[in-house]
Amino acid sequence: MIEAYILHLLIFICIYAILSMSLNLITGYAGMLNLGHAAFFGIGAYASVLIVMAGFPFWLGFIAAGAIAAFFGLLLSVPALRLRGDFLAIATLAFGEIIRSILVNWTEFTRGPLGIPGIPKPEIFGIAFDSLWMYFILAFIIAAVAYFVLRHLLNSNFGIALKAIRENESVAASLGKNVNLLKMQAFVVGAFFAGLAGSLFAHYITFIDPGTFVLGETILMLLMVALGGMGSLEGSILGAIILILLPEPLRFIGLPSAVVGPLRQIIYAAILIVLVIKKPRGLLGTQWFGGIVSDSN
Amino acid sequence: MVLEQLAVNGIIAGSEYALLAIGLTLIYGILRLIHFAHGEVAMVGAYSAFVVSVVFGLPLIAGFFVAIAAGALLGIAVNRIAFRPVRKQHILIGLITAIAVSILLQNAIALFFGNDIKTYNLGAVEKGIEVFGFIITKTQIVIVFTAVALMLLTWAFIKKTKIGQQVRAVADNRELAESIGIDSEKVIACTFAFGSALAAAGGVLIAAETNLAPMMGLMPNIKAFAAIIVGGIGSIPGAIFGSYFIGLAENIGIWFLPSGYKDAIAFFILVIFLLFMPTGIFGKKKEGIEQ
Amino acid sequence: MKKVLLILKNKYFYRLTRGDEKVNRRIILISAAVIAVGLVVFFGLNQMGLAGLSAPEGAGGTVKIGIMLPLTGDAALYGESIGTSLELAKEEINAEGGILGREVELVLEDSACNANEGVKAINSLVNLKGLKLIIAAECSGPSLTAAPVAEDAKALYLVAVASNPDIKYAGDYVFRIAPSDAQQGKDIAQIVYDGGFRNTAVLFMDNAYGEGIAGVFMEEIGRLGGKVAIKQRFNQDDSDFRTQLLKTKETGPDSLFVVGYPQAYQLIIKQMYELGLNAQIFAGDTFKEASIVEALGDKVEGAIFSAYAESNSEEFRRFKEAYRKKYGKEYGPYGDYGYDSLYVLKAGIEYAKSFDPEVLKEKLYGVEYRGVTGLTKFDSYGEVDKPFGIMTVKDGMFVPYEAG
Repeated sequence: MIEAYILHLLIFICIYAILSMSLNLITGYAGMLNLGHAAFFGIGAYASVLIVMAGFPFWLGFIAAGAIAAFFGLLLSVPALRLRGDFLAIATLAFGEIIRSILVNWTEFTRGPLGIPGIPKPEIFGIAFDSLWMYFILAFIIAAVAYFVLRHLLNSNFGIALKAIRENESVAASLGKNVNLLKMQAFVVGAFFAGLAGSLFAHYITFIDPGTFVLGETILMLLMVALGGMGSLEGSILGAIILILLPEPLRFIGLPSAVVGPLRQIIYAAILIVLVIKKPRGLLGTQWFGGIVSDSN
Repeated sequence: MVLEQLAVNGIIAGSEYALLAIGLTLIYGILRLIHFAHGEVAMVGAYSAFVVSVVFGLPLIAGFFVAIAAGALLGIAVNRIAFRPVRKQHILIGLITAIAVSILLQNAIALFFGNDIKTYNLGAVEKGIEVFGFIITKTQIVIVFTAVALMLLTWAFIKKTKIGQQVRAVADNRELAESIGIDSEKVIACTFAFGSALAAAGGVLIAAETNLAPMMGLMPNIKAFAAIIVGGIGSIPGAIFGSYFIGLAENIGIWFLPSGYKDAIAFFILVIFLLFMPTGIFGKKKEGIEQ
Repeated sequence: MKKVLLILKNKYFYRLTRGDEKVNRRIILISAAVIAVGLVVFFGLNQMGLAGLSAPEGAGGTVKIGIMLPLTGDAALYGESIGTSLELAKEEINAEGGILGREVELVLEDSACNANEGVKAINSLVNLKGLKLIIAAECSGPSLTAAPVAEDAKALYLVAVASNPDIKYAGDYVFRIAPSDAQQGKDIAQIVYDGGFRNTAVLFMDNAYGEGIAGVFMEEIGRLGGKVAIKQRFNQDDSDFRTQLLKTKETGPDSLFVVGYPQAYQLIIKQMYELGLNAQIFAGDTFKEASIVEALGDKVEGAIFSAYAESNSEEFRRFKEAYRKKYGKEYGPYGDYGYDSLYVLKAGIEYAKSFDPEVLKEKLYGVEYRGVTGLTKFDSYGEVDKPFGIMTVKDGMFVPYEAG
C-alpha cells in the first residue's frame, strides 16, 4: 500500500521534473520569464490523448505531443524576441489564458469543460504500462532521457551561449551569437519537453480537463525552478522533489474540516516566503542573475 | 440603445479595473515589479469594510474609510515582509514572494470568514435608472464617480505633494534620487501604502457592486495588468485609459463573439499591444523592451 | 576590442562551467539527504502508527473513513457545507454507538476541485493511510481521476455528490448516491416546456457541471419542441454579466435557464433586474442556497430550480433542524448528500455485517436506505435513480414546486 503511495509520488516527481527542467531551460538558462508553461503542458496532454483515442498508437501520440507543443513554443517565441523581463512574463501569461480559453470553448474538439475521461494507459510495442511499477519505469526513463538530453544541450555551445545571453545580451551578440535564433530554440526545446510531460501526465491520470492546465500549475513549476536554482538542471529536479513532497507531511496535521484546507495553504505559502528570502538563489543556484534586474533600470 | 448600454457596461467594468491599475502602475513604476498580490489587498479591503458595516453595523461609508486605512497598512506590511528582503534579487524572486503572499491572504480570509458569499446588505435590488437610452444603477454611478475622484486624488498626490515628487524622482532614477538625499525605502513604503489604499477602496466598490469572496481579487488584478500594458506601464493616465479600454473591449467584444471568450479578449489585446505597441498609448520609456 | 571580448568570454564561460561541476557534487549529497530524511520520516511515522498509517481494521475501537472534498479552491464553499454535515452525521452515529459497535472517525483530504489534487488526495487516503472506505464529494474532475486509484487499492469509493455522467463507468468499487446531471437537465427541460415556455435563453458556467446540465437541457428542449433563444457561457469567477444579459434581452426570451454557483446566480439575477430584463428564471440544483434569497429578497420569488433532496420528508426536517442546532445556521449546498453518504455507508456495513470492501461492494446492491435525500438503492452500475425534486421560491422560502 505504502509502496503504491510512494510510487505515485515518484511518478509525479518524474513528470514535474521534466516540466521544471524544461521551464528552467527557458527561464533559468535563457532568462526569459515564462508564465505560460502550463499551456505547453496542456497542449501536449490534449494532443496525445486526442491522437491516441482516435486509434493511433501511444508512441505516435507521445511524439506528436512534443512536436505540437514545440510548434506553439515557436509561436510564443515571437513575442519573446521583442520583450524582456516582466513584459514577456505578462505576454506568456496571456498566452496561457488564451490557450485555456480555447480548450474550454472549442467543445467539438476538446469536449470543453467536461474533460476527457477514460484515457487508456500507454502500450509501446506490445508492452503495457498499466501497473504503477511499469508506469514509474516509463516516467523515470523519459525523465532521465530528458535530463541527459538537456544536460548535453546545455553543456554544449548552445547552453553556454544561452547563459551568455541571460547575463548580458549585447556581449553575447557581439561574440557573434545569433541571439534571436538561440532564444527561439530555447522556447522550442522547452515546449517540446513540456509537451512530452503532458502526454505522460494525461495517460497516468486518465482524465484531463482545461482546469488542470492553469496559471497555478505554471506557478508551481516556477517555484520548483526558483527553489532549486535557476540555471541548474539538478536544482530543478530537486525543486520538483521538494515541492511534490512538501504538502505531504502537512496532510498529517489533524484539524477541523473547515480549517484544514486553508491552513495548509497558509503554511505552504509561509514556508515558501521563508525559503525564498533565506535562499534567493535557490538551493543549487550558483549564479548571480544580474542580467534581468540591471536591464530594467 | 444597445451601443450606449454596451458602452456603459464597459465603463463600469473599466472603473473597477482602474482602481487596481493605478496602484499597480505606481508600484511597477517605482519597483519594476508586478505586484501579484495587489488583487488580494483589494479583497482584504473589501472584507474589512464588511466587518465594519455588517458585523458592527456602521454605515458602509465608515467601512470604506476603514478599508482604506487597512489597505495602506497591509500595503506597508506586504512590502516589508515579501518585497523588501528580496529587493536586490532576480525579479522572479519578487514574483514568487508576491504569489505566496496572495495565497496567504486568500486562505487567511477563507479561514476567518469562510468561503460562502457575503454581501454588504445594500438594500433591495431595484431596476436601474434609464437615461439617454441606457440603464445604470445608483451603486454603479457611485462607483464611476468615486473612481474618478480617486484618480484626481492620485493626480494631486503625485503632482502636488512633496512625497509625490519624491515618488516620481525614485521612479525616474533611484540612484540619482538617493544621491540628493531621498530616502528611497521610505518612498517605496509610501507608494505601497498609497497604491494599496486605492486598491482597498476599489475592493469595497467592487464588492458593493458584486459581492465578497476570498478569490474576488484575482481576475480584476489580471485585467488591471492588461490595462497598464495597454495604457503604457508606469503611466497613471495610461492605467486609467487602459482600464476603460479593456472594459469596453471586453463588453463590446462579446457582443460579437461567443461570451466564453470574454477573458481571452483582454489577453488578446494585451498580446497585440505587447507585440506592436509595447510602450502602450501613454508610455514613453522603453525599458525592458527591445525594439 | 578583441582582447576585451576574450576576457569577457573567459570570465563568463569559465565561471559558468566550473559552477556546474560544483553543482553535481552538491546535488548528489543533497538528494541523498532528502531521500534519507524522507524514508526515515515515512517509516518512522509508519512505526508510530501516526494518523492512520497503520491498518485501520486492526485496532478494534474505531473505523476510519476517508473523506475527499474541496476544502480550498473554487468549490470550497461546497466542501465546507458537505464537511460540516458529515461531521454532524458522525457525531449522531457515534452518540448511538457507532457502526457495528465501532466509533467512526473521519479523515479529511482536500481535493481542491482539481483533477490533479484529487489523485494526490486519494493516494494519501488509500495508499498512505491505508483506508478502505472512502467518501468522495464534489467536483467531477477529482472524482473521476481518484476513482481508478481507489479501484486499484480495492477501497470502497462512495461518491456523495459529483455530477459527471462518466462516473457511472468508473469501476466496481464505485458507487454514487446522487443522480447524475443527465437526469437533472431532462427534468428541468420538461418543467420549462410544460410551463408553456417556448423560447429559453441558456446561460451556463464553463465547467463540467454547467456544461453537463446545460448540454442535456438544450438537447431535451429541442426534442420537446421548445427553442433555445441564445446559449452563452460564463467564466466561473466572473462577476459582470451585464453584456451577456443585454444580449439575452435582445433575443426576447420568455424564460432564462441559468446554471452556475450561488455567487453567479445572485449576480445574474441582480443584474438582470437592473437591466430590466424580465423572464421566468429556471436554475440548477446549486440554486438552493439561502444567501441567494437573503441578498435578493423578493426578486427571486417564483424562480424554479431542480433540487436533489426530497425536501418535505420527516428525515429531511430532522436533518435541517439538527444542523441548525449544531452550527447555528442553515445547512449549505449538498450538505444533505454529505450527511446521507455516511448513513448509507453505515447501512451498507450493517447489512453486510462487515467493514471489508470486498464484501461491501457486493452487498451494497441489496441496501435500501431512506434518508434525507430520498431512497438510496443502487442499480447494477452502482448508480441511484432519485427523481429530482423541482422547487420554487415562495415567500422567501424554498418549497416544492407544483405545476399550474
